[in-house]
Amino acid sequence: MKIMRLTHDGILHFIQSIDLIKSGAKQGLPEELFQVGDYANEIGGEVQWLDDLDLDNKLNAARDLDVIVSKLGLESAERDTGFWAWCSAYLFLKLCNRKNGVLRPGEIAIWVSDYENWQRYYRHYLASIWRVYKAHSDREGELVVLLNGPVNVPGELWGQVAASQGLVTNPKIIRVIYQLYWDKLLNKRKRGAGGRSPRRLRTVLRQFERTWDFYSMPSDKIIELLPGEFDRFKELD
Amino acid sequence: MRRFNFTDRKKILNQDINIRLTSELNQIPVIDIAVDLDNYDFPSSAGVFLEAQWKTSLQRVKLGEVHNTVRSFGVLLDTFSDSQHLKFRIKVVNESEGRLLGVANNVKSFNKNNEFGDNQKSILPVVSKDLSATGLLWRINRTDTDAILEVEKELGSREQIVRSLCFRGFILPAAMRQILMDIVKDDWDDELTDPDDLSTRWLLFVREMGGANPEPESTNEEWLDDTLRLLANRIGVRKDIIKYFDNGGWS
Repeated sequence: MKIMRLTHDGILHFIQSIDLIKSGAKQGLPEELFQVGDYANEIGGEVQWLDDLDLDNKLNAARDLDVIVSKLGLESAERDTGFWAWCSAYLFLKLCNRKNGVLRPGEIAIWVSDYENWQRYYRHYLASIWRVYKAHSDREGELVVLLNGPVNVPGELWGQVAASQGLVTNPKIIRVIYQLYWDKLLNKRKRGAGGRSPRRLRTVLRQFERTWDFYSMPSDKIIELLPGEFDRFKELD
Repeated sequence: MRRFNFTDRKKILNQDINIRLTSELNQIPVIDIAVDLDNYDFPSSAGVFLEAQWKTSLQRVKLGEVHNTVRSFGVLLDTFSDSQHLKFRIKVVNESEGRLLGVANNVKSFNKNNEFGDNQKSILPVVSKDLSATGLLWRINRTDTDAILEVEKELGSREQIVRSLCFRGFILPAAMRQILMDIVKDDWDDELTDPDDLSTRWLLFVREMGGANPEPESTNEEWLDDTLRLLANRIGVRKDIIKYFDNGGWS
């Protein structure tokens, strides 16, 4: 089976199907979303590529999604809502959270990307991690602080940082977050990195943006500016 | 409430910036830019940057160091596939410290004929968009600096829609009420000091129509009603719509 792209009608059908699942009327997606026709067009490649994604690890999944996008020759993948929607539909049963065994799909933005609105775009399980990976693939080692854990568990740090386009697209800020919240010895997030601190960090950085140009600053200097409440996370030499 | 600028950052006036689009609207944008910095007393070592943004894309270009006039010709903004609604920011930065010395937000470009586009002049730009996934026929898409009225593209072209009685009589007042309600729910600057701020632009617009400022710490229900009355009078289609429906518009 080839990788496909949902058509306009296919996206609507996908959304309606999710709504039916939410209401309890259905427990899966209709087959026609995966057949070439009114709802889907073939792009190419092999669905095995999607089957092989490591969905328990955002960084691995994002890296492999980038390979898939490249192999398929998608030049404007960030805008290709139909492609991301079809991939989400194909992986739906693997990605959809469950409660007591019942599918809980959550918001539509998780499944259908809206590239014109960052506040919705960053919520998409697949398009968002690919886009962040694509923007910072030259610093994969630092991206681990944002792209760790399962694809369908965004977490507070992701929610706070990725929600702000100005922050998540800036490589200096990625380094700041890595320096603050990643334990380099234990190779995991520091304790407290998932709670109130990222929320405060976002607020403080947004305030600093009025005075400082982060693109022109070394990340250590940005960290130095942070108030005392962040001292426990700082690792300055 | 009053907002203070404690940052020593200077505001670069839009009148000192000239960005001219030299490509067609539907092509990858190419611009000529001139920034007049003669009156700002910035250090000559500071860097001047252009940031272009639309929706989820941003491109940053260094224009050079501070001179009386900083010019660049044929700047290719290839992050974008077209130049519809593109907005610009100019920053003057002390690059050794990273400190922002001056900024101009929300700068718009002129087209080849030295004119702003219709949408760029409007307090509420209208765009035609596929909203089928939302189940809606219109919605407001709001960021910190912009509010855009998105209308389902299958209803017709943007030009057709904005001229229609239905749009002007039903959609526009409701959309504007929604924006004004959001503004009075948030904090706004009652001194109206920053014209780049979305709420300030809208409150200045209300003032221009003869309206008052909203009251701090109030739900401002009456203010909203009064403002919408002024707005509806300005749009001026009430009688036309009643007449249209008198003549069987419902059937």
